[in-house]
Amino acid sequence: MGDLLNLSVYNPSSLKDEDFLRSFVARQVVAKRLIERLRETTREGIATHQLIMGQRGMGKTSMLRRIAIAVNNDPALKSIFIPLSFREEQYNVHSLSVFWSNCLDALADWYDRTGQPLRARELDDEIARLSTTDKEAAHETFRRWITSENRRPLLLLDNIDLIFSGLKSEQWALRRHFQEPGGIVVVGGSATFLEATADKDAAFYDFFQVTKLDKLTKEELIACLRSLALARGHDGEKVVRLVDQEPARIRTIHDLTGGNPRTLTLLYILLEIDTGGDVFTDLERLLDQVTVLYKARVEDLPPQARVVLDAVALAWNPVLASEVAAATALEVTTVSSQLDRLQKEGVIEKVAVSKTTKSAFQICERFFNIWYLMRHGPRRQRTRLRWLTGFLKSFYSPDQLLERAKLLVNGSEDVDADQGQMLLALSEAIDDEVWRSLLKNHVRQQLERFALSIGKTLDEIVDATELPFPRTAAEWVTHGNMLRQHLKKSREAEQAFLTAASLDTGEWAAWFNLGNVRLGDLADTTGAVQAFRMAIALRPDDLSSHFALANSLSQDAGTHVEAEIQYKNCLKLKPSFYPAALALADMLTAEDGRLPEAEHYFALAARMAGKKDTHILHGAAYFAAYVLEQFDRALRLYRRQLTLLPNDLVAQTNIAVLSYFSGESKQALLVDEKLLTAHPPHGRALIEALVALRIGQYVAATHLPAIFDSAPEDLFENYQGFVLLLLREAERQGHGTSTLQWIDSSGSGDRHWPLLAAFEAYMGGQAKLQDVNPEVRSAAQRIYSLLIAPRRYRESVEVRELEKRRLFELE
Amino acid sequence: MECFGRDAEATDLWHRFAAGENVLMLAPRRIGKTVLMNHLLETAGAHGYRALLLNVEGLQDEKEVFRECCAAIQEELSTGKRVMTSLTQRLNQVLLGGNKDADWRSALLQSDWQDFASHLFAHLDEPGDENRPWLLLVDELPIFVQALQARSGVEAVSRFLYWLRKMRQKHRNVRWLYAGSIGLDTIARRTNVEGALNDLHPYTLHPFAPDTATAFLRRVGERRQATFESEAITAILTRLGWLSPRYLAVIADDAIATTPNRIVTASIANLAMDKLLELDKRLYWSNWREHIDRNFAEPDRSHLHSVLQLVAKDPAGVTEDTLLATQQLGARDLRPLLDILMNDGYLDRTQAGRYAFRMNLLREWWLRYVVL
Repeated sequence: MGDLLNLSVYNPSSLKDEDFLRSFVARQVVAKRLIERLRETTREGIATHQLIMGQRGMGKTSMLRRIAIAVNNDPALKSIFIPLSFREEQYNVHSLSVFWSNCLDALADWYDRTGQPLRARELDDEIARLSTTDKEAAHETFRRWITSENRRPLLLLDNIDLIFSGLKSEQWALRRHFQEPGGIVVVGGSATFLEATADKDAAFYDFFQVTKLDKLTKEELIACLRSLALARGHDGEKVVRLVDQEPARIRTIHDLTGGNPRTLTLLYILLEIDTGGDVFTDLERLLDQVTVLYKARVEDLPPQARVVLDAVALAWNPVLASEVAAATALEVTTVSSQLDRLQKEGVIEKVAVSKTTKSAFQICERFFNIWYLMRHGPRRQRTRLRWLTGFLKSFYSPDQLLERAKLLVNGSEDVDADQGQMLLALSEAIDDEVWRSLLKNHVRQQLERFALSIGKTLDEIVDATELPFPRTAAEWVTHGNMLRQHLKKSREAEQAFLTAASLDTGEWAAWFNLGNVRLGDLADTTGAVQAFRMAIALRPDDLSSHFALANSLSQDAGTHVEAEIQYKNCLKLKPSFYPAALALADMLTAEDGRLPEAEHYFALAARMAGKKDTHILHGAAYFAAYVLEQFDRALRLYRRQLTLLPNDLVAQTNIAVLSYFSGESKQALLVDEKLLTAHPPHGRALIEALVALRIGQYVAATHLPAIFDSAPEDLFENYQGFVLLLLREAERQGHGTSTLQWIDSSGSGDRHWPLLAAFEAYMGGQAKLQDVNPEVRSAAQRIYSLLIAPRRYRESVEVRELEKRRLFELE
Repeated sequence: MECFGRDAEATDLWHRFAAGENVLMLAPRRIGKTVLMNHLLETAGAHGYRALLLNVEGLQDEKEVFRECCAAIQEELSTGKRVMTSLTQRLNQVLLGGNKDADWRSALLQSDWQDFASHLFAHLDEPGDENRPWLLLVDELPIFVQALQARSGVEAVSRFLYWLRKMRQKHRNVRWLYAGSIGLDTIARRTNVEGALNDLHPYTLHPFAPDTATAFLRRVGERRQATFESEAITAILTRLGWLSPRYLAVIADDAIATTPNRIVTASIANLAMDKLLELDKRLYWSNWREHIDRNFAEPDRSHLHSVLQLVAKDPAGVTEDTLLATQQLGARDLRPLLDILMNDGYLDRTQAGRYAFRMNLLREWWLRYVVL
């Protein structure tokens, strides 16, 4: 940032001429006009003196420097004028003699700057010898030296009001000097009302040609920003883009600057540094830069004026005299008089407000107000927060604000009170309500931690009303859902739901959501079941509670009985609720002897669901193909799936494979290459093995390595149907033993132990499952049930037929 | 009241109306615009017009304006009653579903103001048996527009003024003269509705020229069997400065009342003007201050007072530079305020480029009673 601060902000004289000219963008037209007026001044005639007026930060000092450079660089002007610059505030002027001494010092400086050190030293020596009692000595000396240069002294007098007020009794005398033909030409600057020009009997009434430096319009501001950015070359490119592409943010920036060029330059620095960095830190550094100047400005005021200034600054918005009186406990008449004084000094200005026809007051220089708010406003000050929020909204786009918020909420950095305030402002700046709430809660937690660390309470470091905290059970539920859905903080979400439930045990949503987070995110089935039971107790007829409970119970084979009851409860509550039928069918598929019931519920689900429900179709097709081995029926269902979703890879693949098993494809046709390449290598190998089995070309040692060697551990999960079919068909085709042996000996059995154990039982009898440890046995049992499902289904169908026939015969 | 010294203006206006122009008369207070408008009303018949004079100050909304308009038509001596009768019939058919018992007031009450007024002006536009067009003289329209803005917002003002423009474009047999003591153009500029007035010819009613003012004073003298000495007339013209008929009349009357022998000398004239500045005569002047206090919100109000305060202190007026140096205003904000003060009759720009009170007497009064 150091380089950026070389932009002329507070001390134009500290810059080199080239740097200064590059940064002088705001007042080109005015500068040109003033310089042209100088050109109209002849060597001998009576001069027209200029007065540049404007609030602080409007560019008076820069304008004086600009004129000095113009004179130095222009041969015609240089031949007529010697531009003499002075220090910004000539506090020491209490008599004309002192004034002329200052002029002599300025002349000596000029000699130094223009490479005439000998003349400078000579003059310095003469100044040192000046009589302190001879009031005319300094003037005479100045006149003599200037005459020797045969040029007119151009006095560039900043804060000329200070000079005039120091010379109260000698103003007329000074005026006479200024009116000498061929003599001094004055260009003065003043931020405040000049009494010396106000009254028709005053010394400088009708004396100056006045130029007021007005606030920049939005268009001028845009032009200045662009000029600044272009002058900065590559570094300024992002600001050029901002100017071109985000006019709304520029408008906000204009409001923040109040049309003040100095404030604009300061904010430009932040714009260029940009948003990727920590703008808060940079803002703090900028504020530090201006503190000395602004602090002095405040301390220069008498006590009552300071009190009034404080009230106006902290209000930030325009404020009425009566409001200032109320805030300060001063009489309105006193306040009005101080407001008048501050207005005359250019510190505050009158503005119109909509609520009344009376004038309101605000600080003229907006960045001074910003500094005051940030440095003197209590952290609990809402206006401070509002300013920061406005500032952030102007510097970040809505997307950037959201990104910042997400980073901060998911981050773990500790914050102190000031940083917390900044984060609060950020939360206010975000449009997204969810993230605003999340960020505020994050800030609250951080600040609570900070407060604790310094032995304070939260209220002592921040206005707690800025940090809404969930209070009711419903608010805690909302908070928990936000934590879960947006931040994936399931544990914290669980705590939030528990808090909601503790606040109100009758809050159904607390229990229901508690169950969901436990079941869905925390793998806590027992906890989920407890929560869902509570939900059902509160709402016995609530379908979603029963379904959720059923799903929880179905996770554990030991509670399948109750799960079945709950699924059936769902169907009682709403007979068309096919997800319950589907889930029940799925659960029953793994249970011995219950395949016909599973089939019944699959069919029920398929009937209840819309004809276009692809999820049901998939389930039904899978059940038909890989549980019941009803390949024709499965093919019909997968083909119906394709009419709904023509690019469904799963349906396409199943159709391709099952065509061999249904007898549709008897020839040694290869599965479409395009389809095969859509699968990972182990999937592709599995498909090829299945086809090879059906066309009599299967060799375990040839086909299995490609399946199992590269397969991830979830092979069975992702290709369950094909694996089951492979193992069954291998057994049917007499390759069962070779297949089993290969899996066992290849090492793949270690990774797919439950599968191996299940196949071994399938080949050698269910009792084989007793040979494996209990941890593997449960999973192996499930796979085994699936392996023998077609067989058991056929057996149960045969039993039913036999029963029917027996009954028929009996009849 | 005799419309003295306005023959040229009246003739010019009749020519403009004959040429199809509608006029916006910009006239500071006490300049004699109402007298002139009354004169136009009285002589309308002779120029082949039917006329009505409508003062809309104090009216609150559009419907009130058209109610007053209809009432004024009804009072118009030549054909007014007949026009309103036929208008009522028309409104009955179109707006009231043929309700024969209803009159135009009912129609106004029951309909949207634009519908009502559209029919009104369409009706006025028809030449009829008389074949005499209508001239509508509307006084204090700017004050009504301000009231409308305060009550219903800028949108209502825009709607009203643009609608009037539309009527002017559509019904070219109806002539209009709008007048006011504050500038409608200033209000239009502030509310961004200048386009609604751009078809109107701006007509400035000036104060009397010195010759006219002299003749006026002599005429007053004749009527009151008194004589004004030349020095007295010079004193009055110099000290008044801006030769408003109203103030000339007041000064003349007071001077004549003071003189023991019906001869008004310079000292008697000055005495009369001194008396005019006394507290009991504040009614002649206070409206100048009230105009600023009533019609301008802060901070404009304060700024206007501040400018006038400074200008009042210098009989020669002040330069813009001095104003910039002493006022908390930039050039961009100062110019419109100076325009207002010139437009509304307070200040004038001298040949030397200084801003000075138009009326010296007003400056004296301002210095005495307003400047702190």
